[in-house]
Amino acid sequence: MGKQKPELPQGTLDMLVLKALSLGQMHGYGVGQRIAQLAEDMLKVEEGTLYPALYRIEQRGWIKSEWGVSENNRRARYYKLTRAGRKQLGVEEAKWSHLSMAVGKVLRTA
Amino acid sequence: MGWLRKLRMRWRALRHGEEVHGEIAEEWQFHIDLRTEENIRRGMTPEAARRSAEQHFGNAGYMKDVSWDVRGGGIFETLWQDVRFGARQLRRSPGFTFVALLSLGLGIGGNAVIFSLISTILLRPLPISHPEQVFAIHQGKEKDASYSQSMSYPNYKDIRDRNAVLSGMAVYRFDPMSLSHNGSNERVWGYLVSGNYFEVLGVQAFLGRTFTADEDRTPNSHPVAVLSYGCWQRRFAGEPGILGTPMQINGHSFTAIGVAPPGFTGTESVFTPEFWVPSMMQEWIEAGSGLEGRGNGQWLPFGRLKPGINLEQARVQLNTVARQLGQEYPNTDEGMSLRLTPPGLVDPNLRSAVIAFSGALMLTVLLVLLIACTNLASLLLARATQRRKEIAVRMAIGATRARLAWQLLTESVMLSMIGAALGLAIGQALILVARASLPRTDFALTLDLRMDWRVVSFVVALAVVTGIGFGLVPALQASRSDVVFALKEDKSGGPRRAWLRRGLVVMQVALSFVLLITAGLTVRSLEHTDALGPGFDPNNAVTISVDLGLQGYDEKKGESFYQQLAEHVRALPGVKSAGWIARLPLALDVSTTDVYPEGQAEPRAEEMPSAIYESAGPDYFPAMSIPMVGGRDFAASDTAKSPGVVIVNETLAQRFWPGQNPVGKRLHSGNANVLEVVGVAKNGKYQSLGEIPALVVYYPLTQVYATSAALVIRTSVDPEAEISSVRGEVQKLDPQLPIYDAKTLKEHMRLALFPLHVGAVVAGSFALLAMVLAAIGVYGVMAYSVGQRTHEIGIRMALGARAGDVGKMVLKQGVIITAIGMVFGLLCAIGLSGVVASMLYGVRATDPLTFLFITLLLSAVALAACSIPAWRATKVDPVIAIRSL
Repeated sequence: MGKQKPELPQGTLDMLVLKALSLGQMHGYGVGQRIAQLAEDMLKVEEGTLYPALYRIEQRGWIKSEWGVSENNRRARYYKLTRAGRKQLGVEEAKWSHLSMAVGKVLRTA
Repeated sequence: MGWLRKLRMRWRALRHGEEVHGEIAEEWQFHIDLRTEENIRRGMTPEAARRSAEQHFGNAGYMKDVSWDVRGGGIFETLWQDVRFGARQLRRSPGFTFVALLSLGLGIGGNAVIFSLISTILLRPLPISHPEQVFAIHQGKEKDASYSQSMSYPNYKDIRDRNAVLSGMAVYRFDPMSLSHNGSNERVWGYLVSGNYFEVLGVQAFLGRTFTADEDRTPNSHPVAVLSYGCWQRRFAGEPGILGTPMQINGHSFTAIGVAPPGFTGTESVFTPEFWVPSMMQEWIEAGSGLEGRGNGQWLPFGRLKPGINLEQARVQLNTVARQLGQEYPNTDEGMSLRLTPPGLVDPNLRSAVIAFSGALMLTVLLVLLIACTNLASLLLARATQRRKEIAVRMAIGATRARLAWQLLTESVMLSMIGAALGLAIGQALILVARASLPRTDFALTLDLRMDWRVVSFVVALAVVTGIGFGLVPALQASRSDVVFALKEDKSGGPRRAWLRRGLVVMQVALSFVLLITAGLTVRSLEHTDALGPGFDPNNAVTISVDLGLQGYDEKKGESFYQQLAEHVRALPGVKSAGWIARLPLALDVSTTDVYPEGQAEPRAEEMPSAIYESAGPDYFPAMSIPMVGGRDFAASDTAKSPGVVIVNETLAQRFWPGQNPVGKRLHSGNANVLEVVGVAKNGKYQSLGEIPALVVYYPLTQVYATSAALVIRTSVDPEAEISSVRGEVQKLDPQLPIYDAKTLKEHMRLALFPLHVGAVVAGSFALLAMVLAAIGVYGVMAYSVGQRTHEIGIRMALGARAGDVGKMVLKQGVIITAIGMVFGLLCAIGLSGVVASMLYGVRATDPLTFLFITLLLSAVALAACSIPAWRATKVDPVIAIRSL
């Protein structure tokens, strides 16, 4: 499935997670769905890898988590962006657009 | 802030692991359920939907490991898990564990002992308050490199009062004293100290008090003493009532005013006093006063730096004072220069010798530890190979390589830590043995070897380093396993790993060969006691010492005592000859004097020849079996009234009158008149066995009197019996006179031989240990190789190989490994012979007999180690071996 879909470069998953959560609090499954939606299914994200990323980000204090109740009335863990997380997202976005611009420029001129 | 949250999280994971695991599982289940529902909505069958959801999720096992690392207990939990798992693994293979722990324990134990020796002599500070502020003061001449801790009393007082950098400066001096207690006289060692001695050190009395300044102001006015704790316990049974009561020292009455605290044994690391008395009491303690005379440098000074003053500032300021004194008293103090060193050993020269000696010991034990660790590494490597399947399975279900390596490393560090604990226990046992085997000396020599915190931390550091160092390679090797390859029932670790193990064994054999050679040579040189060249015959001779000065003998009374006792002893049965000497050769110290031949201008101070001087009575040379090369022995006719005569040694004769007959020549010596040489004695060793040939002059005891002396008796009867009859003769002449240091000359030699003895015992035991470890190594590698080759051996036997052939094949492999190791060892031993030669007497460092013997010994041991696996190989049943293929 989706052999042509590019794998995520190292370290960008965290940024995507932060981006997805910037739209509001969400459980892990929802975060995955949101990333897929935003990327219009062009990216390949192994769903399981989301969780280590979520735990890692939580450790850094960029997101918070708590147990809540899902749409279908089940206990689910919800993740929420913290203030530090929002700031971090800004930093990452700026860094990324800078990088992609630079790489794009090199590729166009070469 | 961040780390606090992390710590809380990890703590929770560690304490409530199940809960955290449950949460993670629940969260993931939720995810998979939602995905499954979604898939069903898209039209999949429920089964396909779930399968697809799980596939999408990825490798759950791997994810769990990573998640656990982040969310869960992380290293704490992992460590705890690994420790428990490791302990199970070690219990499961007791043979491996036993050999590994024994190797490590012995290796580390040796290191603990040697390090505790170094710690005791060189590292452990004196038990005083703020020892880092206290420094011994060494005096020397600006242009001369030789400094020693010595100072005259007048200079001490001036420097103490004029300097601005020391908060206090004190002097001490150790002296033999005669203590009368419970009707018996004993010669013991005590300190004469300045009144501020305890105050400068910051040592409080355990009982009673220490000296006051008033008690050390005027000569012979305050006969008081502070007892050492040990003396109080041993001699006075720890009786508090001793304070204030008189005790007899040198026939004078002294009052005990206090007891020093238990740990405090004076300002030297190995010489411990029985008691301290004020320096002003010197006249009562020894003949002649050292309190006067600016050139009389017989006191040992030390000082405490003022707060905020560093060592360099202190040195500069003290030398300013020294220069002032040099200008004021040019005769004695010109060019005086001072240095500060940590207190402890008397002599800086002795200190460097001790450092060199203990350095060599340390190197030896580290080498043994290296061999022990090689065994450990080799065993770990073999075990990692055996555990390939287990490791492969764990990797297949998602363990990361780092995680596996970490776990294997935990196991090896665990092993080395247990090894360290064992090592400390073995070390403690060895220390008890070492304490018991210190040589008998007249000195209060104490070597208080202890497992202090320095030793323990050294051992723990050593264990961690060896655990990591020798566990790392096997751990990395094992975790590199190719999963598929390993699961396919392949047991051999591949050729690389086999070579690594064989290489380790080759190294072991080489190292133990070198150690065995060194030990063999040391033992051989002990066999050649005569080749050590002491210059006298230590067999069939005894000696006793008396100190007439302590009993208040004057010169006239003393001389008649010496003469009478010698005559009486010569009349005893079995005595061949008996003669007095002021100081036995190869005791710890010698005295020197200026000498130059008659007819030469007096050489300048720098070029003045210096000779060891002795006072000897008639019959001393025959009693020691020192041959006379020319001239005559001293005789009764050499008296205080007859012309001054000397006997010189060969070295002096050759230096002063090369190619001429020295007998009848005359020389200037010290302040005495010109003396005539009447005899030449054969060369010997005087201070230490390793000394360079020294110039020696012997004066007749009747012309240069000594207040204490040793009587040497050559006898044909049992030495102990002879000593007790000599004691009887002394008693008859003076029942009050204490005899000290009664022993055979052989025992006396033990002191001089002590370094060599220690060297031989240490080198010998460590070399044997190294050999055993190497044998274990050889056995291990061969047993393992036979295990690996069971199939092959089975096939060979099925094809018609006989048991003998198979055995030979295995033996050959072992012999090759051993032979390579021995060749390396041989080359190293020859390469090191230059270093080793300096420690040997009478044997060459390339002694062929030793080399041959060690080669045979090691070959035999290695062969024996191989023969068990070889024998086992012959017992392989081809049917079983092939069926299990």
